[in-house]
Amino acid sequence: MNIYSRRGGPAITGKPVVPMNELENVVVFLEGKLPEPNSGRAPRQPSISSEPAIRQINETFVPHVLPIVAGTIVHFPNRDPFFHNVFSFSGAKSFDLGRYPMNQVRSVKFDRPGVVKIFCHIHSHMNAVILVFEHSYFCVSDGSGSFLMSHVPPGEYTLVAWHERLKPQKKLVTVQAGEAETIHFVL
Amino acid sequence: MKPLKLRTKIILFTALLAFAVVFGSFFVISQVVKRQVRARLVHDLERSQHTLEQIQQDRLRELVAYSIIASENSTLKAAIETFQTERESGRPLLDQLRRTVENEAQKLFAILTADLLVVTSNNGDVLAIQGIPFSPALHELNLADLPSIINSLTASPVDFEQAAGIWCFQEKTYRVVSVPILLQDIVVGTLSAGFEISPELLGAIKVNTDSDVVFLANGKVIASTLSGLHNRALLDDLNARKNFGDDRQTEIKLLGETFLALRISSRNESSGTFIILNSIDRAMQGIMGGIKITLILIGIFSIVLATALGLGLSQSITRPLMNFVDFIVDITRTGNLQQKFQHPTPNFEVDALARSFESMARSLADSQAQTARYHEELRQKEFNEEKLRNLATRSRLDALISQINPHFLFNALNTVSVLIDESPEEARRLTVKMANIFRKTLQASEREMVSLQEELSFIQDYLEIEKARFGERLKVEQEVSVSGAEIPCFTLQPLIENAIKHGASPKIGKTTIRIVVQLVNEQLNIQVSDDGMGMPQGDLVNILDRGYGLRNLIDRLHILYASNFSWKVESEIQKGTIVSLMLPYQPSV
Repeated sequence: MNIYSRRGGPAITGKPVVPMNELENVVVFLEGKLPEPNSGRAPRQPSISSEPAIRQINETFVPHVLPIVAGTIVHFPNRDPFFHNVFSFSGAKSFDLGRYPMNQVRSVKFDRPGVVKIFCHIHSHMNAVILVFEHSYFCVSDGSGSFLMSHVPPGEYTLVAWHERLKPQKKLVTVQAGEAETIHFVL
Repeated sequence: MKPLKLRTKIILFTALLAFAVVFGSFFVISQVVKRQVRARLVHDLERSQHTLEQIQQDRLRELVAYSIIASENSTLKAAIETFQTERESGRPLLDQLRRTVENEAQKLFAILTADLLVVTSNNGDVLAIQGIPFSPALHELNLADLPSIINSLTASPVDFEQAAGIWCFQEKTYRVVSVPILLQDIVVGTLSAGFEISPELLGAIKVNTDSDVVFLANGKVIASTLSGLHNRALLDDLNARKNFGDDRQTEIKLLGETFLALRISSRNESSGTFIILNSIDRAMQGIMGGIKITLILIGIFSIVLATALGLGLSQSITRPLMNFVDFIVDITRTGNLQQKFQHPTPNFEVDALARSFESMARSLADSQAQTARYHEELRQKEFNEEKLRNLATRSRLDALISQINPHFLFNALNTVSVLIDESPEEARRLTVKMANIFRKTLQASEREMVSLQEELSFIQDYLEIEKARFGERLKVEQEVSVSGAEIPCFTLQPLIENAIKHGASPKIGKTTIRIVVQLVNEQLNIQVSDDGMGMPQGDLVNILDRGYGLRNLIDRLHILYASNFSWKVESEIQKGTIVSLMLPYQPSV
């Protein structure tokens, strides 16, 4: 047994562990020269919320990984009966929301694309990642490891499977109109 | 060489004895103390080992505790994690993140009693360093080799010693613990904290434990409380020694000084070795110094006491002895053997000696007196003999005188002349008798003792002459029942002469002289009696003054027999006189 638990804070504190499936933390996105359809109003992926939020539940950021389109405002509601202090040192977005109690929500707008690491000043084990994209061609795999990306215009792309601790895996895909491509990643 | 006085000998002996006792006890005490000191040092060394381990444990424990706290620092974690995420991005952000980490490290270092603090990212970037200047030589930091605390913490009980590693950097050696910085279960960096194993640290340990401490790593002395020469000697000794195991006390001789040494190695062989040493010699010196002074004081005291005792003892022995010697010297000087020994200090032996000596002197005095007496007796005897000879000579002369007494001669010659006419034959015979008497008298002067027969024959001749003179008036009777006997010469003649002179001559008429010689009770009894004139009782009292002949005889008998004879004169006027002698009977040979 380790003094550090896999998730949800040190086991020695005896706090409840929120089970988390690493497959849910894999983000799949397209890389390369992408068309910017509809001039600004990009089609939203069905799995992506228009008002994304990272909640703080049981000293854990949920979800752990959140992909968004640049310019999106992300809410950080506190669902724990104690204070949290969400902050980031990342180059894409550096912020510090300060301490706030239960059920308060603070929000940050992410303008620049990049990887933003989110932490909590009070609970050092809490962390989350926000991937800020310039486009909306990304999705998150579900618990079973399958993902679905739609509204992709036909063309040749590099499909990337990203996980925060792994080297990104890339695959070339050719999308033809009206056809569905099935891609397998082994992480 | 002059022989030493008894007193000097005793004093010297007691002083020497005290000296020997003091030095003997010093030797024995030093041996005992050495054993005690060694036992104490063994104990001290164990205590030192415990202290050393305790200090190390405490410091390591502190480092680990603070490092764990630090690893829970969210700012630090966020900065490290972000640093790794942003590796591809530009310097300004990375520098800022590095500063953040450094800032956190600095805060931690301020409250941590560590000499070194290093924060590295999981990719090996050194993000912060405290305690040593941030230098280009940082590639020397090989913190990856350090054992991670995380494995040690899983063990129970926690073994910090196992978790600690040795890390050398720029001539300095640190004991370091490394704590992983985790973001949930992901290691994002390492926080290493260490303390330098410096002479100061060992000095502090020495202050606490009184033991010298040497730290060795990679075959070199890293730090030591000993001198450089000692360190080199220790290294040589250890290299030569194969069997210097851990946790076993061993004696090591360094530069002539004996140490009791104990080796303490980490279970991690590369993390160096502590050797703690206690100098046996120094401990001995410290203790023996005090004991030496005490012993010297006791020694001086003992010697003085022993000398005083010896003096007293010798006084008690020699004073009576000296008195005794004085006593003897005095006796020798004065020759007074009857002196008494007066001793002011009673001493049994000397007293006994003196008593014996006194007794001996007394015996000597007695014997001297006896000898003197003997000599006196001898002299007396010689004197007596001389006197006897004189008396005999005189009696002889007396006899001659009495015989050539004109009266006797006249009477005798008158008698002869009368007889010449009447009986020339008789006259001639008397003349021969007279000649005989004179001859015998002269002959007898040569001897003191004569035989009874000779004396009687002499008397016969004498009486022949007297008879011729007195004629019918004198009658002589003899009764001799003793034949062979020796008597002093001229014993009878004076008695017969007296009987004629005082008994027969004055008497008118016949007178009978009776001579009796007999043995009475083994004694010779000579008795001459007459029935002549006799004498009054008054004359008997001083009879010896009256007649020269009797006195001469008694004197001679005194000399010859001392008191072993007796004499008696009985007389009655008109009746006669009896003279009786009792002499020791001496048979003739």
